Amino acid sequence: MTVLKDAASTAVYGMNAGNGVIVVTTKKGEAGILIVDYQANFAFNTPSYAPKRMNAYQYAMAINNLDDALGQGKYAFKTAEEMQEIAQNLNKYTNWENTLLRNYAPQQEHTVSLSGGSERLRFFGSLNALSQGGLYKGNSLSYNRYNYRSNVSSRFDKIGLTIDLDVNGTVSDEKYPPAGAYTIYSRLEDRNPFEKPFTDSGLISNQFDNPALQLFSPGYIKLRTVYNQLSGSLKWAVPNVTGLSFAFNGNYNIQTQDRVDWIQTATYYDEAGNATHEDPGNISINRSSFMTSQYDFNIRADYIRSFGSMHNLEGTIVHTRQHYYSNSLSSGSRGFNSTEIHQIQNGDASTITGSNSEGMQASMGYVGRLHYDYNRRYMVEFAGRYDGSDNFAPGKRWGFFPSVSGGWAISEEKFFEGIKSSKILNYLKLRGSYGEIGLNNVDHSLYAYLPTYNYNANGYVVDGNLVNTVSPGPTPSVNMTWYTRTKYDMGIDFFMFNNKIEGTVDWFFEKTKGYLSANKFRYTAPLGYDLPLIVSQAEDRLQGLDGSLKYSTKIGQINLSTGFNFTYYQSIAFKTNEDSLTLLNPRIRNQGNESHYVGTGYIGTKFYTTPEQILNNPKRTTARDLRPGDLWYQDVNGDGKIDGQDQVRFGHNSSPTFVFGFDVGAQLKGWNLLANIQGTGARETYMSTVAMGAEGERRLDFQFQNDNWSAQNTQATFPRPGNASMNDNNNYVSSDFWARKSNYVRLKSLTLSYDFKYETFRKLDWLHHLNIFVSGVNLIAIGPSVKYGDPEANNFDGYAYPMMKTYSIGFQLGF
Amino acid sequence: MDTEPYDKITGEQTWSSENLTTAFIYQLYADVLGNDSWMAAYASPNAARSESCTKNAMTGTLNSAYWSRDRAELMSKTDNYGWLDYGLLWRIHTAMANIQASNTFSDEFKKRAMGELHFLRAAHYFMYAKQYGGLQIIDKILTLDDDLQIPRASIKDTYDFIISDLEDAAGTLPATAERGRASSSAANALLMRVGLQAAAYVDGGIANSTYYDKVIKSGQALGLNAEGSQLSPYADMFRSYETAIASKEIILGRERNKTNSSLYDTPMQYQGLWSTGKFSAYAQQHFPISVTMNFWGMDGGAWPTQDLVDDYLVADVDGTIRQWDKASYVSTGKNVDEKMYFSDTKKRDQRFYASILYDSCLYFDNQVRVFFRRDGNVSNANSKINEGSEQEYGYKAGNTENYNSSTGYCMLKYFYDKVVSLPSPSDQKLDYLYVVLRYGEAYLNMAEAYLMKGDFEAAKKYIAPTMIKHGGFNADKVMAYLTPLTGNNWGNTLFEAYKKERNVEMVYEDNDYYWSLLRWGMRTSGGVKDGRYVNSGYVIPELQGALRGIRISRDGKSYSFFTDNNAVGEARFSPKRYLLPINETFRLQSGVAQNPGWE
Repeated sequence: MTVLKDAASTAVYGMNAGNGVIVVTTKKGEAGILIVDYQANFAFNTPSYAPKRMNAYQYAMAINNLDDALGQGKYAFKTAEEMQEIAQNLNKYTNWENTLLRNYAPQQEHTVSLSGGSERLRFFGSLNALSQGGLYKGNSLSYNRYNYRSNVSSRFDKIGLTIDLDVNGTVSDEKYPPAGAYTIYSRLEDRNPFEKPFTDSGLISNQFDNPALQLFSPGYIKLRTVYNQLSGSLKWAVPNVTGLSFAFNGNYNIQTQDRVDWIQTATYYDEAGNATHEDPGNISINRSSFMTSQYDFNIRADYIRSFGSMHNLEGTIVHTRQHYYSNSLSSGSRGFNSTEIHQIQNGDASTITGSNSEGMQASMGYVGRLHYDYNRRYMVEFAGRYDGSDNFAPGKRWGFFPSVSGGWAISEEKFFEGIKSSKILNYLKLRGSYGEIGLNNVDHSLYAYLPTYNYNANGYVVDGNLVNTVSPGPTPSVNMTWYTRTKYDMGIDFFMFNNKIEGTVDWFFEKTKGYLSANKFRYTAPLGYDLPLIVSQAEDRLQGLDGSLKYSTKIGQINLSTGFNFTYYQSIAFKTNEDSLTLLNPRIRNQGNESHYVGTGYIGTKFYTTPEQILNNPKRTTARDLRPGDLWYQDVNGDGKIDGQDQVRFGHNSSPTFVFGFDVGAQLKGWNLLANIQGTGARETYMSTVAMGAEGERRLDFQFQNDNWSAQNTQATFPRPGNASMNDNNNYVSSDFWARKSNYVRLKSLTLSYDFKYETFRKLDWLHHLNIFVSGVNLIAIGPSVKYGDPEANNFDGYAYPMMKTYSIGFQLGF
Repeated sequence: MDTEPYDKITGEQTWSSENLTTAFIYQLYADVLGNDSWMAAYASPNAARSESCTKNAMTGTLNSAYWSRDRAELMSKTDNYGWLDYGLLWRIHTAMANIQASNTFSDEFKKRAMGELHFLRAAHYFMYAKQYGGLQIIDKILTLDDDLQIPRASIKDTYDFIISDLEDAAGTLPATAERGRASSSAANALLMRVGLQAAAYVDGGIANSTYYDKVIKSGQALGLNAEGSQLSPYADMFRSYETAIASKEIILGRERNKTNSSLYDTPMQYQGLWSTGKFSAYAQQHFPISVTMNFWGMDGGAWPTQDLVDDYLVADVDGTIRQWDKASYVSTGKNVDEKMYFSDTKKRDQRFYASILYDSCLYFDNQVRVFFRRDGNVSNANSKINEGSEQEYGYKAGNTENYNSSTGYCMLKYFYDKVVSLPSPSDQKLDYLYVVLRYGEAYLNMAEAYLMKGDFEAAKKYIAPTMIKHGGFNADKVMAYLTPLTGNNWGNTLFEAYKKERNVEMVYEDNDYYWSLLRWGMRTSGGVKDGRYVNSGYVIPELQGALRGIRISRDGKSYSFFTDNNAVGEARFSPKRYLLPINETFRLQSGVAQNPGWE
């Protein structure tokens, strides 16, 4: 795997390379020996940082406090006696996670591969199977994937021809309960300990929004996705013309999916045992499928030649084409009096519906590249792309994007020999590059350059029948075209202390200019239609540093290698396309400001702690009944009241602008230990209204939500109990109070392996290799937000399938 | 690279085909009639268009966020009650321009299409005119060369613009139309509604306001008569789809089709009752429930108050029409039902039984008998209905979810009978009809025009038909009830009787009572001239004070009333409410003037 970042080196990858390129090279066989390899891996997944749910007592207390705050009295939910009873019988009440979820989901993966060949013909083939279970009890969730790969490479040295033919394919089978993870987890979190998924006799209860209805239902969603890829390349080194070669690379892939949604909810029961069966009219099936096919190919000519022993020249010309096609089909029916047959035509015939969609997309490009270096000491390279995209109107489809780079290996100069011989600095190279990359981000399916109208299915009902409707599409944008990202990069590469330290540092600067948009500074809303998109004046700038350092040494018998890498950058909205209203309030303008803010709202938030503070200070104009423990916002513009004009952009959003990683590898005889630590700089995550508990009873789930302000708990992380209905929603409006620090350092992975071939089975000739390993992913994280959930989660409401921690064990055997 | 879209057509194709042009107009219907449909506004905390901004209903649970802030006058200029949809107006004007320019469309087609577009533009404008008064008048496709900082027109010019559109539509639309499309009757019916509002806001409701004459003219065009011959049975229009579409009374409706509509697309999603909670031994013995009813019906329910229930009249033993608490049953009835509800004999106004679910009714496709009373099987444990249960049982008895009625009543109007309990309301597919315009309202609008002009006899002639045909009262008794009544000011007997009749006829439709109260209050205030009320702004008594509920004893023998409020507090009203605040963000961009009192 190779990562390319600067504009010059990504030039040949073209328009989709705006953010850099990762080049993955798949395995090829090695000539001479035949190796059979078998790898097995057994793992368990468990939620990484699940926040602690409240138990029945904590929940009852929370609701009593909430009701009290809303003026319903001190023990409105549970009386003092009931509270006592609850405290003594905590086990009687439901723990929804324990009842409906497993702690661990199993996973296993097996791979068999075969490789080998002769000088003329090399091959590599593999089969892989992965099976993953889900956290849901009832086994309603599973994922199985099967993959094959065959890479064959043959060479005809006499005529200079190399041919590669690779095929690979995947079949994945997914099974889900008849509801998405969001539905299941949100229902799970919104239940409370006094509600029950099952009746006393163990039947599915009639609890409102009972997730057991989906988890244990006869319904299901099943998907089978098949992917096949054929890629081939042909390279012809022209005999008798040194350095000249022609090549063709092509790739064709097809992905298809077949999906069945059989929606039938489980039968449920009240405590008396009365059953409610699903109404046959609501049992439904939907079958859908899609097919996408894609080809891309390029034809290239390369000329590589050295003149004398010092002058090296490389030239490349490439022509590329991409084409993408997709269609989808969906059909369904409802009304199944018999649930034996799960076929559309067995439902109520009058309810059968069907729809399909179809789309196509194409792009082309020409690339030229010229490289010259003098003895690998001075290097210079020019490249240019001429790109075409069907996103734009004819005449606006093509754009030209040049780049240039140069390098100087100073350490190869004569004057450097002295420094080199001191063995402190062994190698030093300076690099620099400048390049432009074309961007064409626009929703292709809109065909925004064409004057189109949408023909909408079933938009209105006339005489009881659905009719289609027509509405105008987007305003045709005939003048929009490519816009550019200009990248500058300067870097040094070095080796030090006898090559024990290897490092590289880059400074980069990027300007992205011309985001496709209509000009917004003039108020044109009354027109009723959007102005056409044009290449706007808006510009973002970004600059930063990244670098890596590797250090290898030997301490006694231990081979130690460590690595450190980091990226730090700043990005600002240099010039913006902002509307007239934003321009009125300089505090909410983006222009000239960091792009990575959390939100716009009130700042300087603290708690009111005394009634006097409430009386004597500016308040939100709409707030009522403020009390100590409510949030006190800053009067930013000092006009004596707090309103929209006091809102300011605040915080640093969850995309960190400083990240670092630390790798350690240690080897002792056959033992090998690998660890990877990742961390971030400033980062904040805004709590969702669900996590805040702003919506009241049903959203109070987690222990962290009970850290409410009180006269005894002034350092609380939550305001006094309440919900959005209280004091006209003073506490839950957008403010910096709810942006919670979420920077972290985590042990991303840890692997310990042992190589039996090192000593134990060294003499077994038939055995090529044998390793066993144990490993863990996401084992430990440290950070201020870990108490709310996994630090990388988008918010803390627990409504998504959780992030996982994985423990695995496995081996690799080859002969 | 010459790819082409598979699923698009062009404007040229649209404007050269009558079918596609009609489809373009259908989308406008969907947007105009769907925009501020009863539903869309219903769950919004800023719902000036929902029933519970009057004292007719309490929305939601006692402490949820789904109350109407409007009732307590908590609105401010930071709220956003919407404004003209410029995109929609552009589409209307694009269609008008292309249809007029076409030389392939038939004259008949052009005439109808233009009529529909005028009707839709008027309907859209009126939605905002009644909220804000004067609006920006946009009557053509705007371009960048136009001044886009468009000032608001006067209230008079705004209403005249709307009425002129409707007069145009009434003259060009066909007499009858497919369901879902406007006819000339629809234009006349809407014109009557608009005319009354205009008369109050523009002319202060003076007797010789020309707007009243326009209302009467449209009423005559609709063929309104003393027999109320266009009226259909009230329950038919609101309790099932099959009977609703067969109701001749409905002039224009908006339908949903079961192919793409579920319970979630109807107000029914908020109106379910819950049977879970902690029920006392008494409740379990006397009020058993054998079906599960706890899968929908949440914070958005609008529970009828005793104030609303009081407005349904009763036929006394001799048939005389009275307020229920003035009738003889109050002293002769042995229990609450015999004093007040008359489940067996249905002596109350028939609209009561079609609109309101009360204690001991059959519910849920007649599967369950529900009891709102103390210890009842759907009584709310947190409401005053169950006050004292904690002292008696040591726990709160009743539906502890807090999702059931806090007033002792539940809404039945617009709730279709044939539903089953469902864990997932989105799976309950159904056909549904929202009434947009119907004759019942037209009769009352006609009556109001005469009433305000001081022609009380004519007013009574048009009040009677809905009382007879919808209320089910004997025609002679209705006459006897109306004959002695007189006067068209607050407190006058005829005006008060008219208010009651309008309330029970129109409850849960178009938030009619709220806009009617504003209209009547504005009349007393003398209208708006130069941004001020001609007389001092009248404070409407019906929009102040606490909400009332009923607490029935668990044996069903006695009752008492209580007052309660949810988190929003008591109803409050001050005169600035006659015109709502314009959202400040929008105002700063557009440069339009704010309404008085909201600066």
